[in-house]
Amino acid sequence: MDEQGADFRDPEFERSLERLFARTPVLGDNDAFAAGVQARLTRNWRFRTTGIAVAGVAGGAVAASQILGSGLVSQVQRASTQSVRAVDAVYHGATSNLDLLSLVTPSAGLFWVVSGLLILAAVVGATRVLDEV
Amino acid sequence: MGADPSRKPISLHDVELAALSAAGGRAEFGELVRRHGSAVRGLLRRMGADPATADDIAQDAFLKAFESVAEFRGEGTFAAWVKRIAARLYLRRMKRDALMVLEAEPREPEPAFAGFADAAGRIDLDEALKGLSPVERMCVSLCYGAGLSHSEVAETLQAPLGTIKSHVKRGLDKLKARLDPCGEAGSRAHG
Repeated sequence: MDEQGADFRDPEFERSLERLFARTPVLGDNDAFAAGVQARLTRNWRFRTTGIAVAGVAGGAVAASQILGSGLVSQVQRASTQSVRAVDAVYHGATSNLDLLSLVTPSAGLFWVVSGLLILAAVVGATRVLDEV
Repeated sequence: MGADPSRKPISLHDVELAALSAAGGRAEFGELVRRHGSAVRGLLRRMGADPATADDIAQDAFLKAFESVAEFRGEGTFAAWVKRIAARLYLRRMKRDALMVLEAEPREPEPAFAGFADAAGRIDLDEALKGLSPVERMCVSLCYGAGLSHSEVAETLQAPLGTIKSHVKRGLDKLKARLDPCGEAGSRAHG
């Protein structure tokens, strides 16, 4: 308390006064008081946790109803079916190209052309899958 | 502030208990309330609160302390920290209820005795404080009991700093005349 002695110049008395203030007898109902505080803490804690739980359940219910209402589940199912078909088509295209390749004489140029086509097919397939999802 | 949660709260230091309380330990905080409840309630009574109001505000102060116990860094004592919270709550209550008149004329002090001492020779501060006007009593208690500076008291009460200093000085003069008529408070306070 740096400014305490500004007007009252008796630091010794002020220190002794601080000591006197610090000396407080333990009140007879100290334990009852502590129990009261703890009971209020517990009540507040229960109230808070109940509030959070109720808010969580309410939020979850609202989110679930929104999802069901927007038909998201059927959209996801449709998208995944189409994706499987797209991947299947790419696979078949690639395997038929490989069958054709077996009829011709292999060369380095042909290898790169086929590789390019396969990569292109894979990119197209992936793009379609992403678009649908 | 690493505290071992396996130890019993009663064996832990205040700072450790505060750290565990900050992690949600209500039992640990209960131990802090047991240790310092009387000090906080005592200060509020010395500030002039009746016992029921003092207990009510002390409860609120401890609940508020639990909410913000993570802010307690152990730089001062835990008791001092809660006392400051309680003192501010009490001041707010007084202002809200318009119970404090800062410019009130100070009461004439009761005749000076040869110090307020009990049978064991200890100085009875509570008895001596009764000779102060309510506002002097509050200002002195805030500064010397709760550890607030004059500026903090002035800010909390929204009163001029000079007014607060005057109340504190008058209160200290009266207390000195009562507690220490022969200049012996310092030596007796140690005993």
